[in-house]
Amino acid sequence: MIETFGILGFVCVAVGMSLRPSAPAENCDPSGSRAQTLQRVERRGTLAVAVSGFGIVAALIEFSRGEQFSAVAILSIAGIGLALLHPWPWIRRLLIPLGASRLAYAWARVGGPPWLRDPVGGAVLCGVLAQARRRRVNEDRLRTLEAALGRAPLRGAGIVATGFIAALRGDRATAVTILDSVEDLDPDICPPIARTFAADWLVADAARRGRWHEVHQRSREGLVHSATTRFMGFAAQRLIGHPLSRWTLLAAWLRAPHRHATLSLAWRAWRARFPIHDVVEAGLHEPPANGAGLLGTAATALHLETAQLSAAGAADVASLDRLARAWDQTLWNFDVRQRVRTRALALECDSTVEQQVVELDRQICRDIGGMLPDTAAELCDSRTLRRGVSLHRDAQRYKIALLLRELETAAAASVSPPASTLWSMWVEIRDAYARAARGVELDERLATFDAAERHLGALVGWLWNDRRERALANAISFWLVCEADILDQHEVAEVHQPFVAAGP
Amino acid sequence: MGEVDKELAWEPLRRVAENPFFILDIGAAATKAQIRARSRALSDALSNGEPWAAKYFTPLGNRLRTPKLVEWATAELLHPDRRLGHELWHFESSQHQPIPTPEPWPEAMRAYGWRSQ
Repeated sequence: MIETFGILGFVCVAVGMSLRPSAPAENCDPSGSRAQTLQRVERRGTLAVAVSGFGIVAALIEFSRGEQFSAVAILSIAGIGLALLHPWPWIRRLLIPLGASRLAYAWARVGGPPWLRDPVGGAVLCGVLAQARRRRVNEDRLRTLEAALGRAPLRGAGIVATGFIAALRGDRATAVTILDSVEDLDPDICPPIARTFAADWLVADAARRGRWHEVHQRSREGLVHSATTRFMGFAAQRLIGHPLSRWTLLAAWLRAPHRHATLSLAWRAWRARFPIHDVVEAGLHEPPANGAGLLGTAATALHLETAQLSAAGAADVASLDRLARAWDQTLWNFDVRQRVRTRALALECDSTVEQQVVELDRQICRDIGGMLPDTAAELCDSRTLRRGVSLHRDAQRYKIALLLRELETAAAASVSPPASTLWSMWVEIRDAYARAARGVELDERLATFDAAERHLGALVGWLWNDRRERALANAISFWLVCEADILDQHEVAEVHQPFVAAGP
Repeated sequence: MGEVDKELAWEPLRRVAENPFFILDIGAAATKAQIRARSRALSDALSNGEPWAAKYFTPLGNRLRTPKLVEWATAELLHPDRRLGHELWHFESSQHQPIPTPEPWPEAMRAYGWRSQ
């Protein structure tokens, strides 16, 4: 009898603690994500201790009375209770591989680790991952999962789920943009495993498109990587000609799951040989040897080579400088113009040689602007390159203005769009800003920032106060503060600092 | 280069990969009569299912040739202004050696257990 009362008392205390968790620490905003996560951890931990404690004590009592069958039954019930409270291992190993999307979502709504920072987003992500295993995607199911995201403020796992939904619908560009944006989120609102899934998809997508430099780079960035991503990174390292021991590759392959599926890549990487380059002076200011096309200079061939490098994610500032100098020499070469003029006359063209060269110049500048790498800061004094940068910057500013207008219209609408749509629009603005800032002086960057900051400041207030999307508002404010600091706009940074300090 | 069509949607690469001179497999000095004759020959070969006509060579690898593409390339080359624009981006096969880049891996999604898109 005493034991029974003891167990009942223990369970009552545990249930009481889980229903009313202790107050968060003093330096933690009670309505913030961190406080909510801590409360979830406390509730979940207490319930787990209660269930397992009750099961073990009750089973021991039954065992001491010689009731082995009852003891095993009690332990089994406690085990099932624990599995219901912590469904992730079962969902990951059983329901997701089976493609049981509906059940995976429903069970994951119970919560538990690793989705304590974003329970709703985590449940939706479980459902979406199960959909990704199916032969055919169920569009109705995707819509239902998408609608489920709107039931709580958008957080990290929800954003990853949005990216996967876009990928399953075949919208690769949107998927890349959204999944890439996960790195901007505060750790308090993004479960680490959601980041891992995002990184995995981005690496797989880059490998599928043959962007092995990107695979290598992505596998080295970030904090948490899956074993498959680590193996892909090593394979990419060998494929692009960077030295790596074959045994390191083999060990990574053995550690990764789905070894049958990755065998062909492992074999390719195993056989890859490192190209032995002759050590020569690169001569970046000299034109390359092989001329091509009607122009008969090296610029056309070099243009194609640099575009190929850029598409593979391997273009750098030096190669772009070299290309721009080659075009400078070609476009202002009178022999070249004479050749074009002669050919235009032979073909009886309506347009003049000047019109043809202007059109060519525009094409080249637009291409070069698009090839600028992220790290383009110090550029050579090339007319073509400067014009390319300028055209590219103007195009991005125009895009930013359009997107901001679109965002304001969406915010002012009677039924504003879901948070995932707002996040996608924000990420597009941020990316366009990053592209506009490539290779330009700080004062030009400041002009772009000034135009964007006014609108974004209002958006942050609306997201925080009206939509209760603290995570989104916090991420945008954080970006505004960082950018304002870079541009020495300390007053602007102070305006947005409270949204950062309050946390997501 | 392999027989697989790579992702060439980006304008600077598409300009070369879909250059009408490559599609019709003729030199930059071809006359209008030669262009028309080549176009007819290719259209007939494609409608008869001749395997040699199904693909064309570019500095970026072999690409799929379709009747619609042949029709478009012929129209482009018969227009003097547009032809001149294409001549600016046309390479003779010996003028450009493609950069040896590792091939894509289309099964990458399967490595994570996801369906290939």
